[in-house]
Parts: sequence; C-alpha cells; structure tokens
Amino acid sequence: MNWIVFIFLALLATIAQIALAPLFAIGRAVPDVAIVVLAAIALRTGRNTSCIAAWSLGLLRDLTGGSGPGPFALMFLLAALVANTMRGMLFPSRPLGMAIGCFVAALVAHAPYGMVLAARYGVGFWNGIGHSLAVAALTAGLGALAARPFAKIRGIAGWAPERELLA
Amino acid sequence: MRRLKLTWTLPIALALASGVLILAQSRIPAGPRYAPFALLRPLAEWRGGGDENKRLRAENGELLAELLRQQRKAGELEAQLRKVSAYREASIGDSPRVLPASVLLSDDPSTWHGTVMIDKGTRDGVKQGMIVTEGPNVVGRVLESGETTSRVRLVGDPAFRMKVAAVKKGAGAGVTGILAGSGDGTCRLEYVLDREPVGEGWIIVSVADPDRGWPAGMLIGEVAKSGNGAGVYGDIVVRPRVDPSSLRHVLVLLGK
Repeated sequence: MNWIVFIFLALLATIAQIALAPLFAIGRAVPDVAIVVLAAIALRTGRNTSCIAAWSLGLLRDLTGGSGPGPFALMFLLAALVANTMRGMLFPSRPLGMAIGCFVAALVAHAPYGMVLAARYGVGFWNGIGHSLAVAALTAGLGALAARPFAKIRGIAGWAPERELLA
Repeated sequence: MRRLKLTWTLPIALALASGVLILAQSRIPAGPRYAPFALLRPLAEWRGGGDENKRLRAENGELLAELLRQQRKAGELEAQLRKVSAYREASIGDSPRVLPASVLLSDDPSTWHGTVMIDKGTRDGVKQGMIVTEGPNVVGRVLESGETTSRVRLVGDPAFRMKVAAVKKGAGAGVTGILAGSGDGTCRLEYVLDREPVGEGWIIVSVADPDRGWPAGMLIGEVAKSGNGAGVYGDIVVRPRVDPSSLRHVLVLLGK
C-alpha cells in the first residue's frame, strides 16, 4: 500500500468526519467516514497492512475526539480483522460490496464501545445498540457512494485488484 | 505453527498497545496531544474578525459576566434558591472571573461523546474541571487542557456528572440530585426519590461547590419528562438549555 496516499486519506477522513458528517446525521447518529476508508483498505489489502491502517485511523479518532487515547484504536483494529476475513467474498468496487463491508466494520467498531458506555455510565444497553446500528447503516450508505471513487484510486493507493483478491 | 505466530504477531502487538494506552490514559500528558489543534486558532480568529471584533468580543464577555452577576444577585431564581437550603449560603456576591473563548470544533468525531474544543488553554489559566458557560447557561466542564486549546465535556456527554438542584418556577422548594448525560443530547436527574415532587418544566440549576469553585444558581436545563423509575428513584429526563451545534463563543469560569 502507498502510505502517503493513506496518510492523505486519513487526514481527509478526519476533516470530513468533523466538518461534513454531521450534515448527514439522523438524530445523534452520524456516518463514520474513517470506517469507510478502513473497509476500503481491509477489503483490498493483507491482514497486517489493514491492521496498521485501522489502528492508525482509530488512534487519530481517539486524539481528535473525547474518548481519550486507546479505545477506538482497539475497536478499529477489531473491525479491520473482521472486514479482512471478508476479503475475497465481497467486491469492494461495487456499491453493495462496500456497503456490506462498511456496515459490518462499523458495527464491530461501535457496538462494543456502546456496550462499555452502557455498562460504565448507565446510558442504556438498547440505546447503545440502537446508536451503533444507526451509525452502521449510515456508514453503509456512505460506503456505497464511495465504492466507485475508491475503485478509481486503487492503482495510486497500491491496493490489490479484485481478480487478485478472488484468486 | 511458526507461520501462524508470525501472522498474528502484529495484530496482537497493536491490541496490546491499545490496551496500554487505555490503562495509561490518565497518565498521558494532554499538552502534546493538544499541540496540533493550535493550528486551528487562526481559524477562530479569522471567523471572529479583526482587532475590533476581538475587543468587542472581550467586551461582550465582560457584559455577559456582568449579566451573570446581576442575575445571580437580583434574579427571581436567587430569591427562590436562598430559601431552599444551606447550599445557597455559598457566597453569591463573589462572582468568579470569566474568560471569553471561541469554539474551534463543535462536534466530537467519536459520535458517542459530546465535546467541543475551545481556543484557550493552560496558558490562559484554563484548568481541568472548570465550568464553561454561554451567558448564564452551563455548557459543560473542561475535560482536558493543552497549552493553547482545551476540550470541554458537554452536559449531555455520557460521562458528565454534576450535583444540581431541581427548582419549581415561582416556588421556594428544590430537590437535589446528580445530573448525568445520556449521550443523546439529553440528561438524566439521578438519585431523586420517586416520592419527590419533581415535575415537568422545573428548572435545573447548579449547586455550590466551594472546593471546586463552582457557583450556585447557574442554569443548566429544564425537566422534559418526569416519571417513576424501576427502583426507588424517579426517571427524570432533563433537556439542556444550550444547543452545542449553535455554540460559537463561551465563557470559562476561572474561579475567584
């Protein structure tokens, strides 16, 4: 993978998350732009590469948000591992493939965090699950829209073509 | 087996690194983490305008602080609260010093937390735990401070806790409890017994905490729903007075 392109994508995703994602919010749930980048990478690269990328994206989220360092780095790592196991089963250049990958990755990244918040602060278990599902659904929608643009930058980003993924 | 070990070494190492970061959260200094956000300060200055605007904003801050003082001295709320209980004995005349600040980032990218970033930090005297207001309304408390920027935990954040009183408009009675954020923009009033007569429309105000320099009588929100909870405590939902998405300028209460 081209790591310079990754750094650019990570910074772009962080800015978009803060500036643009709230415009597509439904209630308190907003699409997770970093998860879309994470899914695009995890569905096209090897396990180690996707783990480093996901951990970096999560750490960036931790540093720019109010969660403190660590939680999202761990959650994004788990999401990348799960999304990476679907590599070869989904077509990331097709909207449906990206939507499914983003939905699963977003759910894996957010649901455990919601449960921890529910247990620690008493915000309600079903509130946490409902919020995670809403974030995952919105992220899946954004992933479907981003499938074609990501397929176009596949070459410059150094991601494997789909025929190699299926081989 | 050797190949299996090599394949999983990196993910396990990264997971352990995350675990160490989570466990050491409170020991990691905030300064270096907040340093990059100093780059956003020119944005706030540009959004706020030039020197004239800066002067007017400072003046506006002073006027808001004065308004705060007057409200607390002469307002109907003060008179009601003075009757209620001993917590109102806290010195009403000693108003805290205030510091005007601009909001740099009004959304938390985590989607779970409610925080905003302001353009004042330890260099300006901002410290963890200080109350942040918009006029007489409580916005939240300072979560962490870097040298030039700070993050403020909003009252709706799941981790927000504060001792408050629920006061009926036009009456002298009040009930104390703990305000807790719900994560969905609203708050809950906890540890108020079912039998306590808290009703919809009651206003929620801060309770004096001299140790932390918090004044009494700051407005936080009003009761949106009040019912019986599962146990001995009531199920009380509070709607905060401040809408975080519209926040541009705030005041940090620096203490006396």
